[in-house]
Amino acid sequence: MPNGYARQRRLETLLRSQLDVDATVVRRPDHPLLLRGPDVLIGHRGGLVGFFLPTLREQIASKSLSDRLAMSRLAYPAHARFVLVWPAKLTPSPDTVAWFDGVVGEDDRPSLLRLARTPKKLHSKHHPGGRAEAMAKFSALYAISLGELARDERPKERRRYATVDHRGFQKGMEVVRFSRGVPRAAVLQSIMLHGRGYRFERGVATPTNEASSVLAVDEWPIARSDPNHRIRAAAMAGWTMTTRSDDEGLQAIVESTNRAAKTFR
Amino acid sequence: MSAARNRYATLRAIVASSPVPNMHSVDREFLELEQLNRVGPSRRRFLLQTLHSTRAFDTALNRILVYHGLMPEVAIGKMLRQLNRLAPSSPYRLPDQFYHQWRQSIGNVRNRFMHEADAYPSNQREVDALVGEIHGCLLVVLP
Repeated sequence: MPNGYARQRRLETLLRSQLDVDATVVRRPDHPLLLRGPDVLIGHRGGLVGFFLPTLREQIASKSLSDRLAMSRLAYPAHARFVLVWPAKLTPSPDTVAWFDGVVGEDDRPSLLRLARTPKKLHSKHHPGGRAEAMAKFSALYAISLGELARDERPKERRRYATVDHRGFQKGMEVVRFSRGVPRAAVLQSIMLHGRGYRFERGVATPTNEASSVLAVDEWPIARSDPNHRIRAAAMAGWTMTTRSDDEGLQAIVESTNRAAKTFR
Repeated sequence: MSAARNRYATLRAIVASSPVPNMHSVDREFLELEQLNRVGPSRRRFLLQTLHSTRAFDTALNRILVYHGLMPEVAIGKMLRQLNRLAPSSPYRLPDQFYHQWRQSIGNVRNRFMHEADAYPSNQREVDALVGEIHGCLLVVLP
C-alpha cells in the first residue's frame, strides 16, 4: 500500500483535476486552532468537506483517528462534513464508519468526486454540542499561556527536540514535563488528544468538568509562519503551556489553570 | 506548498463555503497576501501584509455581523464587542477573554500601523504573530 503522503497526493491530484476552478483543494490544511485535522480539505459554495485518510497506526488504533475527527468537529464550522477514505481491499470497523458523515473507498473515484462536489447532501451525524463552552474554555486557557509567553524573555535557542520527561498530577491536574529543547508538533499533538479537558467519544469532543492540563516545556514551540500556532492549538485542546520548571512556579500556573477551568464547571 | 500558502488556502476554502454572503472581497485579500512574499524592501512588505490582512479581517467581521442581523460598527474593536455581545449560547460568540485580547493584539496594533506616520512592524515575526491571531479570531467567529 502506498504511504500516507502518496495517498494524500493522489487524492489531491484527482480532486484538483476534476473539480471546478472555484473549488479550493488543500492537502494537509493548516487550521489556526488545530495541529492536525483532515488530510485533504475542499471548500466551495457548495460546502466544505474534509477527507480523512487514516494512517496505518490509525487503522489499528482507531481512537487516535476518532480524537482527530473530534477536534476537527469543534474547530471547523458546523456546516463542515467529514468523510473517511478507507484503503482499497480493507474494511473499516462498523464503529469507525459510524463516526464519520460519509465513508468511501480510496479507489472509488466517482463517489469521491460526488462527495467533494456536493458535501451539503451529506447529513451530519454528530452536531458538535458545546462549541460555545469549548471556545470560552479555550479563550481562558490561551490567555494564561500568552501571559506565560510574555513573561518569558529568554532568547530562543532551539537546541534540540524535547521528549516527555515526566507525566504526573499536581493538585488533581495533569502536568506533562518535557526535557530540554523544543517539543515536536507530532509529540504535542499526541499528548494534546489525551488531556482531561475533553471527553472524546465516537468522534465527538465534549468539554468535561474536569480540570485542564499543563504542558511544562523547556522552550516555546514557536512555529515559523504563525508563531503562536502550537500554543493556540494546545489551549484549544484544553492545555496551558509554561516554561516554568521549579515546583513553586509550576504550582502557580497549575492554580491559575485550575481557576480558569473552574469557571466552566 | 509553503506553510503560509497552505494557511491561506485553508482559510479560502473555509471562507468560500461559509453561509455568510458577500465574502468575495475577503477571498481576494487572501489571494493578495499569498503573493506578497517577494515584495521588497522588507518593511514595505510588512506594511502591505498588515494592510491586506487587517482589511480582510475588517470586512469579514462586517459581513459576519450583517449575517447575524446586526448593523456593524466602523472600528475593529467595536465590531469585536458586537460579536462578544451575541447570545452566550451562540456557537460563534466571541468569548470575553478573546474580546479583550484581540481588541488589543489586533485592533490596537492595526490602528498604530495604519494611522501613525513612519510606523512599521519591526520584523517578520511581528507580522506573522498579528496575522496568526487574525486567522485564529476569524475561525472562532465565522459561521
